[in-house]
Amino acid sequence: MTNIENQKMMPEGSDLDDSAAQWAGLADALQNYDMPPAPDTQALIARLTPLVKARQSTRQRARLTTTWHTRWLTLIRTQGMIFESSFWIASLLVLGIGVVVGLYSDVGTLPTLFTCFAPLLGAAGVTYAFRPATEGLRELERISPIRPLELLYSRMIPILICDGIITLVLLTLVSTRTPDITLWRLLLAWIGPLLGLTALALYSAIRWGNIAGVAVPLVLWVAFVLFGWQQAARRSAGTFDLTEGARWWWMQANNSNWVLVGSGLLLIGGLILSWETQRLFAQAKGD
Amino acid sequence: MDNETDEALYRRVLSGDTAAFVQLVTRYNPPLFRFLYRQTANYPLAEDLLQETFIRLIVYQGQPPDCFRAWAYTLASNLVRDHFRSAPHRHEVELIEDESLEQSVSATSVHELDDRLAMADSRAQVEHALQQLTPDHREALILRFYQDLPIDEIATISGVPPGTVKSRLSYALKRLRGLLVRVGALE
Amino acid sequence: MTLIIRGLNKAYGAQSALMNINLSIATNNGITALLGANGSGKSTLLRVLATAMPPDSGWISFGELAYQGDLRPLRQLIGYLPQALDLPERMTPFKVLHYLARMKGFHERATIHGLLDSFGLTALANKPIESLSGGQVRLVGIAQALIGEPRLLLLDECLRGLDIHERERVLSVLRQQAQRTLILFSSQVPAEVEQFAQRIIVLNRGTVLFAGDIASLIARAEGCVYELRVTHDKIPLIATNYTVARIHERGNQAILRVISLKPLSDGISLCATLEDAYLLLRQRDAM
Repeated sequence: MTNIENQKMMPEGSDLDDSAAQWAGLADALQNYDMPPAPDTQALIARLTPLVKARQSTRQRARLTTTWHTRWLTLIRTQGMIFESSFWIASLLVLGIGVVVGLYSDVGTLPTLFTCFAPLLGAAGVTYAFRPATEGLRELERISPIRPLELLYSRMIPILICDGIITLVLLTLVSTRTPDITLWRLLLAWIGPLLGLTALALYSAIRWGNIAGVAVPLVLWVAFVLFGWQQAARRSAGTFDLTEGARWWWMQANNSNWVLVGSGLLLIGGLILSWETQRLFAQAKGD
Repeated sequence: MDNETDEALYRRVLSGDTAAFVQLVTRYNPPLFRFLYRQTANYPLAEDLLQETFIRLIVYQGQPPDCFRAWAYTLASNLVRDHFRSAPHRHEVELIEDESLEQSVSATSVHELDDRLAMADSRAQVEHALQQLTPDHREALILRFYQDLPIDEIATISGVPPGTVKSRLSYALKRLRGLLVRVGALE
Repeated sequence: MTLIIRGLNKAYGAQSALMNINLSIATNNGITALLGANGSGKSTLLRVLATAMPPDSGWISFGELAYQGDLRPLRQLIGYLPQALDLPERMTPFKVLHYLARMKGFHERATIHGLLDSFGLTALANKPIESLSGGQVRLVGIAQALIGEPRLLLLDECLRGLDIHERERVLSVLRQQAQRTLILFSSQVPAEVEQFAQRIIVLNRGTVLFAGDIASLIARAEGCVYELRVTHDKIPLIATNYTVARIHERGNQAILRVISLKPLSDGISLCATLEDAYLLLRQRDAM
């Protein structure tokens, strides 16, 4: 194979028999056509080696110089910059109202409000974090050296921490005022809907825009709550009020393991949805 | 590993092996350059097309070919064809190479000048006569008589049946002979 | 470092945006302009090069990195200004730059202040984006592209909306940067390309019409540009037979700058400009 240029001039084989006559004398003439030297092989190699290495780089993964926790801490701090002071003030306000209602109103009011609104806090936070004002940065975020999933999670973490604190305080308050309630069961029952609805809000916001980010989880949650009312109504032969419906849900969360299983399923659904969301996020508009 | 086949080397190049690339360039730089120079009779252009041939070989994303030599000549041949097709205003113009290339081009221009001054009449006549052929005829002739490739491989490279290669060769020889006789290089 | 593009194709549905693009551009060749009309494929090419959008087929590599697999190492080398940059209105230039710098893994505040200073934005650093002029927002956009000393700088319509002083500032920053960075900017205006760039790539309907020195492109139009003085009624006739680059009205006469491949005996031959060469190129392509 290496003998790729043989300077032998005479054609071989029978395939050129008819040109043999024309060949007479021509071979010598063509042989006189000596060549200028080929370009410097080493220079060519030096110039093109980066391109060969580029083929190699397609198979390698980027090596990260920092540890994972430093990296995540940095990511969360960076994403924290997207949240303006209004977000933190609003969160504090929600907490404050919850505490006041929990301490000074009827025993059933806080659980009712909590049932209606708490799981939607995450959805509201996501809608805020991906508000239209931040959309202009989306193209630049997409081409940053951060994976879409890392970006989405690190932006959701401030929201979830905030909601976590609000919920923990309020649930503790409820459990201290209601003797037959177990706190850990409530927490487990709550975490599934919160994460599921938050992931749904994120998916809807990225897929269909900000309004869908609010509307889809809201509609779904309202349907859930109405279902609770319906159950409560059936139990009390048609007469029920707002508090009754909420109470039915709380009792289910407190006593039924199926609610905990459902919460777990919502949690898993949320994780699957967020994986799907990062795929959507990575795609450019107009692709 | 000098006896490693071209195909095996090329597979290694496609997975980013620079050592295999060095071997492949060492083997193919002279013959591909000769092919391109004889096709174009223009040193800087042949050098450009040579580099482009190697770039296309490196960035190739399909299945590795069964016969590397035919594949390399096919790429070179396509580039020559593109050049002649789009001249004088090429749609694809090589932009902006780095300094080392610019230096080597200017160095070869000087070299080329010296070379031309010292060039024997007969060489100029052959070069001129070859340029009178159409690119397809010239390609068949160069691949057969200078590069010593078999007819079937030339047919693969040129993308025509072997019969067409034979008729192109026959015509090219006849015409070349006529041209050389006319300028007195042949009796 | 060299940017190598081979056989690049990109389509939006059935509409081809880029067709068989082949280019090699090395860093040390000054600023390169991408000139073309609306819809010629400039923005698509820059978006693909910025990794904001994957190509349908073809090869792209920059230095030793290919546009395949894990793009993060490559993205650390790229600075990009999208054509439409809609920055969050209530964020300040400093915060936008700080956020994007951290996304890229750079944490030094001094670098951001330096960037703001080089574009004359120091006094506006802490004012909300909504209080800035269009040109100033564009400057913030260019500044963000320069975060982390990118090796490949892609600026889509970076001069749009800038006044003459702002342009001068951009030019001076880019000239300094050009020694170590490959700069590619797009424009629709030949005059600004002539002022800013040394090399040019002309795109038309998704294909490369020319790539090389601006001077050599202009040289192609020498001898093809004429001044014709005619009465107004002759203008439609001339416009159907030749490319008219410009028309000046003078009394009952019109002075036409005409591009013609054939010599015009009653015309005065003029020196060609980049605009003439560009029009000639497009005229030839349409033939």
